[in-house]
Amino acid sequence: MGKEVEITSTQRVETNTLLEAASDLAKDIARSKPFLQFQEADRKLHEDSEAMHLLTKFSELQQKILAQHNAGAISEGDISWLRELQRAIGADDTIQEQNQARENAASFLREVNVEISKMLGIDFASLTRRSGGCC
Amino acid sequence: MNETKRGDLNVLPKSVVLQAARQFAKLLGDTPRFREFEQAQLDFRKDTKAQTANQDFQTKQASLKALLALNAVSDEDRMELQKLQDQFYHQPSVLRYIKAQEVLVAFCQEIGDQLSKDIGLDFAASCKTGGCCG
Repeated sequence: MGKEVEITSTQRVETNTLLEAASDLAKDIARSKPFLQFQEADRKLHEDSEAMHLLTKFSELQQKILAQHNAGAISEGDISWLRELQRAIGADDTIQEQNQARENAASFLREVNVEISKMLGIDFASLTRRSGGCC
Repeated sequence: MNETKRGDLNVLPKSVVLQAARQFAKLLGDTPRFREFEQAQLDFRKDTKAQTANQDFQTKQASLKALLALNAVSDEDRMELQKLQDQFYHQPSVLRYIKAQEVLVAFCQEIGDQLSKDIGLDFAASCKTGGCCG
């Protein structure tokens, strides 16, 4: 987690200005082709109850196996079931299209970040990261 | 997230979005917090006393690398290493640089959270490429 940094009232005003600017930029990003396509693919996925069911089942089973792993007793049956679900997810067009659309949107965000970072002379995304994990 | 509109009338060309990104960067780069970070970084790099203190600490640490990994450093060396580290972290330009960085990071984290919320994707996570530290 980030450190608590005290800021002055002037800085609070400046923060609000920048937050508004970030929102304006976000509105533009959301109107780019990769983001419109991602929104559409995401909407389709959420309307596809079968695909959503697969993802929910997969996530639940993953949690269950993780708990089994921590307890030192993994069920072979659950592992086979997980592989089966993984195959089904891999073969589901709606899920795969949403995955691809999300990757395209992320790739576009990387271009936006490069543009911002070039102007600042420092990687902007890494400044925004709330750390945790290895970095 | 906004609903997708029918038709492509509302699609913004990439060049327009990148131009908006540059305008945003200009605004951020002009804030006193960003300028203070830049100046503190510059002053730290030009501060020969701080650079020497850094070098001394790094050199000592490198010389003890194998022993540190084995947790087999002598008390004398451990104290010496600690002293060099303290000397480095007490340099005014180092303290100022660390403070400026903390302030800027907290500022940018708020901005990043706003961006992520509005676009519906984690900005920092999406910008990572490969590996856990990419």
